[in-house]
Amino acid sequence: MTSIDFKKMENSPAPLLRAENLFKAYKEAKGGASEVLRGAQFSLYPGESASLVGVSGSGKSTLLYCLGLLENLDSGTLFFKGKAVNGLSAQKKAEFRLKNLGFIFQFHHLIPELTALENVFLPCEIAGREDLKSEAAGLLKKVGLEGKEKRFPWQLSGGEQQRVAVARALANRPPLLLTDEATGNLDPKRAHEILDLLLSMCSELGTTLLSVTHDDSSARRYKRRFGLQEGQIWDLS
Amino acid sequence: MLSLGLKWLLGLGARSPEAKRGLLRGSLWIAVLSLSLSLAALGLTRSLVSGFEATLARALGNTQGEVLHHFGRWVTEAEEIQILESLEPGPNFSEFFWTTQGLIVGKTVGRGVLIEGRHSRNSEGKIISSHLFKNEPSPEGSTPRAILGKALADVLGVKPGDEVRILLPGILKSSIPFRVFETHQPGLYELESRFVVLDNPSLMDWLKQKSPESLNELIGDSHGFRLFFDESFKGLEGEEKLDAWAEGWKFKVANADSALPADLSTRIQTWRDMKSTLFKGIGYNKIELSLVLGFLSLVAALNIAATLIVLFLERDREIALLHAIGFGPRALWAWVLLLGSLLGAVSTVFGILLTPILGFLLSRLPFLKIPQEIYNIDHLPIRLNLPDFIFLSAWGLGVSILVAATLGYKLSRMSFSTVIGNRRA
Repeated sequence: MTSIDFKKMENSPAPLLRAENLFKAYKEAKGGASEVLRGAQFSLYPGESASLVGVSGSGKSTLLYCLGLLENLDSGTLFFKGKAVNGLSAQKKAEFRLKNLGFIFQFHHLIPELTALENVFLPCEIAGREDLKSEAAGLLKKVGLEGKEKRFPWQLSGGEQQRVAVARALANRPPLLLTDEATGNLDPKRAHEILDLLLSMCSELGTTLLSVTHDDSSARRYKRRFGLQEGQIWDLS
Repeated sequence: MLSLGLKWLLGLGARSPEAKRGLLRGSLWIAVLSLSLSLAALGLTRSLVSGFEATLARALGNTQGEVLHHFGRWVTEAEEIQILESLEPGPNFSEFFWTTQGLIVGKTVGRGVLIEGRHSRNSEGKIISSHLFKNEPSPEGSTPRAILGKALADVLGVKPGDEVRILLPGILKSSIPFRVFETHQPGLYELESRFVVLDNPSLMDWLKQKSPESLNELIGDSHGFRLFFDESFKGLEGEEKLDAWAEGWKFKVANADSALPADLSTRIQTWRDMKSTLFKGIGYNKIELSLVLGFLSLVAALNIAATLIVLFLERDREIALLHAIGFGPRALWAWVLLLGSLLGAVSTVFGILLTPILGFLLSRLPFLKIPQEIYNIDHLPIRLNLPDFIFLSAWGLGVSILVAATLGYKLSRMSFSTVIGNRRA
């Protein structure tokens, strides 16, 4: 287990995402603060797939949300394509996420009133990108849901719902996909299928992937593997 | 995005198996209905007050004339004709009058009243009766005629055809008999209880006076004339037109080059000036009632906001997901504003449509008949004015937009990240 030294990476290609000295703490109900990130830092390069493991409560999800600009950092800098992005306004952060990030969570969070296809179209609708809709519809086929486009989420199985979530996360063709226990809610067979799908689609589309998981065997299937311990990130590859 | 949003939040054209969501949508529509009803109540109340105001204005105009013109002195017969010739186009007819205080005695009791004698002139300048006497000439040598207010006639215990005696103290040594031609009911007790109009031609005939000015020598020196206009000048709608007319004519009368006598001082009043306190009171009533019912509709709009809050909180994970995708705070604020405004607009349209429907039903339903002998009308005088509808629309939309904008702002500043995953808050 080694800490990441950026100086050693001077000859590497420019990272897509670089985290420098991230700090994040939560106030405890009884007073005091619980430090989740203590100077965490790492880099992620274009097209890479990486997993992030750690024990429960180690702050994996918090780190992911900070990287996805869903949560504010206490200190530290987050660079995306060389530009610091964590200081942006809430509105600019939303615009940034729309253009650059895709998310998959443990729960699919599909909108029950919308069909599978309409759920996949959501990012395109928000971005006002009608041109991406045909590609987004193609993604639904790629995840194996051809013929089920007009079904509502509650008419799909758990695995199918998560496939829709995968297609939705990639609909806007984001350079970086962040997943948080994306297969944690599925049985091992379905989880395996979804992970295969995720890795193959990201590879096919050239999307950089960072997945939080508590399953070590799943984590080993990614090109790189990071661990979060005591608020610091360790390269386990 | 709009159609997807409407499907998502309002379930329009969408299917969802969750009964809870159906219930929430149902409560949202109930909130919309309550805003519609409160707006309809506001519209109806304003229409009712407008109706009473207009009915009263019309009744006063028909009885007292739309314009009252006081002269500083009694005018001669020649001057009366001269004045008639000076009139701007507008009035249908005019009536000269004198007033004095007197005593009227009926069958059993007497009353001190303000007595008014009226006459008009035809196109040849000949004296004729007031329009209140339906242009019927009095038979020569018969008892002079009088019209009494209904309330006064009831107090005196007289009815049309009966005889009353009128005493003008300090003017005539003895009382004069008058035949009650008709009882008059303008719908305003204050006026009805002391309304006495005498028919000048028949009085002149009885007193053997040939002209109004010679009658004046006997009776007193109050004098002026009333102008009665066509429908377009009547009631609230004609008020501005009437003011403009009166202003123009006043200018002409006051002009040095006018053909009218130079010493003829003038004071022009419209019906609203004559009863300014009453109409101001009605106006204040309208404002007070609008405030009370306006607050009621504000509460109904808050009801929509409260239901929207529950609707959004029920979908907090979906909002969090949209937020993660890139649905920014500005977009969320705009969404809530749009949705609230849309519901407000629907409520306002319903409220506006309900107002005339309820108004029609209320004014026509038999159990809401009102006593004609008191109000001069037997149904609620609903009057649907454009300004009232504009007020209603502006208020309905205004409170909805205000409430939605505030709610949207609050929601847009909320952090939904804690509800999206499976981690600690």
